[in-house]
Amino acid sequence: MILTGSEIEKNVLSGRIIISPFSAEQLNPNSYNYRLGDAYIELDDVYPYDLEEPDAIPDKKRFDESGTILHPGKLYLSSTAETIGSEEFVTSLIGKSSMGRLGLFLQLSADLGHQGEIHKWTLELAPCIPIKVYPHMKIGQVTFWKVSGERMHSKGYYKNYDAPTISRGLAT
Amino acid sequence: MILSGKKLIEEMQKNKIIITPFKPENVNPNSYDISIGSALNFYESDAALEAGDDSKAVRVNIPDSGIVLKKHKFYFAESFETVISDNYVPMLHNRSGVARKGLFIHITADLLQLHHKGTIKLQLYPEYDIKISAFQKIAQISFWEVYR
Repeated sequence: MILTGSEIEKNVLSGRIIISPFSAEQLNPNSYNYRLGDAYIELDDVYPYDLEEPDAIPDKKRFDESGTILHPGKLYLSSTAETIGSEEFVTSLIGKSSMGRLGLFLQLSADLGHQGEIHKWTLELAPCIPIKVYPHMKIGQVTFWKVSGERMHSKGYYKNYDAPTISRGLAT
Repeated sequence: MILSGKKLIEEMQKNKIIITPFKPENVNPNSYDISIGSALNFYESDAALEAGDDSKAVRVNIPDSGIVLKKHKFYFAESFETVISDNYVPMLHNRSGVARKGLFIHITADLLQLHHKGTIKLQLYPEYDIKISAFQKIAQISFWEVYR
């Protein structure tokens, strides 16, 4: 079952969902609009990546207050501006239709968050058309889902990171 | 509701979900990691495809040394595992370590059907050239209770 906006708000107030900072204006009927962070990584297209291996750590850049153009055919990693997560509910991050209509893939078919991971989530941005984005703009929506069964603890690696984080590969 | 990893294991023990082969270390808090099989399919020609006909695809075995997927080319594959789920709806998701390298593993087709029986179909679309190998843990599936 998916939580309604008012359930999201109730659970934020009782501490069972973390959205920080939280603004009730960003609630939707059954999701919450999260904002884009201010740092990003532009992945280089200079060599074949290896799914197994960790990637070299590229420089972080900052989104320009007057807008930064993202280019099609490139992959950018950024993060949510908010710390988001829950020990009790499963978090799922997806795009907003207003951004989808501009041809921006947000998350590359990776929507499912691990229960218990509470941090600023790394976002993958893959534009189909050049698109200008701004730091702290509302860029996606997060949903929360009820879980059946006893909770299992996360062994996730990326939960420890609040900044845009590159892949460490599958080797480890 | 989405199943927790513990509930997934319990339902496996009751044969309500069957994943073959099954490895306990592939269980996540709310999902199970699945691997790509040893074959890869793609279309060699840029000629228009007939909707509903994937017979023009070429199928190759992924060599032991791996294979480089070319950026902005489309590939499809199947999971190594077979999944039987008569009680829960499976859904397919990417893994963050894969997505962060620019590789889509499905093209907005995440929903599987109740009574799914067989491998999981994967659609691969890389933003950059990327080397993959057979049997890599490339995706994950979650299981959802149904409202009857």
